[in-house]
Amino acid sequence: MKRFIATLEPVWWGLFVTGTALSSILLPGWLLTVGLGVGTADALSYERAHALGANLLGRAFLMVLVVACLWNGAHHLRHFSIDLGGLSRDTTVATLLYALAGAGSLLAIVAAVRL
Amino acid sequence: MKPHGPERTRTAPPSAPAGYPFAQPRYRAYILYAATSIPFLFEGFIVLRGAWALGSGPAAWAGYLADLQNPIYRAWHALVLVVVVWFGARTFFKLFTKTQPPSFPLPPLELIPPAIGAAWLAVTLALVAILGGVWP
Repeated sequence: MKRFIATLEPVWWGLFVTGTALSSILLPGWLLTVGLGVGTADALSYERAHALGANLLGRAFLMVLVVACLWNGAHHLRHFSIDLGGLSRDTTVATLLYALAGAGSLLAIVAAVRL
Repeated sequence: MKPHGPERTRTAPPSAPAGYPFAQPRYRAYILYAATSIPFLFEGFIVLRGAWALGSGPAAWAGYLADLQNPIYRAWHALVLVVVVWFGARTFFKLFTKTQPPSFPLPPLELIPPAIGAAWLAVTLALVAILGGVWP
């Protein structure tokens, strides 16, 4: 597993860098409106939210936002773990975090398709 | 007796510097930057739950929005907003120009942070307008 994770390092790094940029740019808008309630009273009514989310751009937005947050978080958290505790537990931590981000990404694709 | 060839230079095992990670401001900033990974990871699953609820029908979506109005969720999202803005500002305005490969074809590096900042602001305003019900 250690060798497998090391071999795919460019993939993890690419997902992390892309996820860093996209999640930083897209997340504030989501947090202000959906998270903190900025907007008109019926802005997030089911009919309006579904119409926004179910078109092609809406599906792509939701999927990209989830995947970007997960891979940014997973790869950075792996290195946070290395920074604090060294490499001894890295294989276990990396396996768990990448499995979590991978499973979440698959669910995000399914969620976007079923909208 | 001579060695067969040049031997590898032995290096000391890696060890953390004294006072790491909280003794010096630069260590603290580095650790804080890495710790932002936790809210990003959690927020990814919160958004995923929202996308799933939206595909599950009006009742599930109403339940999701009702949960987000809980003060704990509100406080969490306020915290995550501060974290994301700090993380993005540090990434785009402080680290970006220092971490580009020298031979990578890019426009002049001094132009990139303001361009990213303008794009970041424009995307945020557009998302607030769309998701906030102002436009379209």
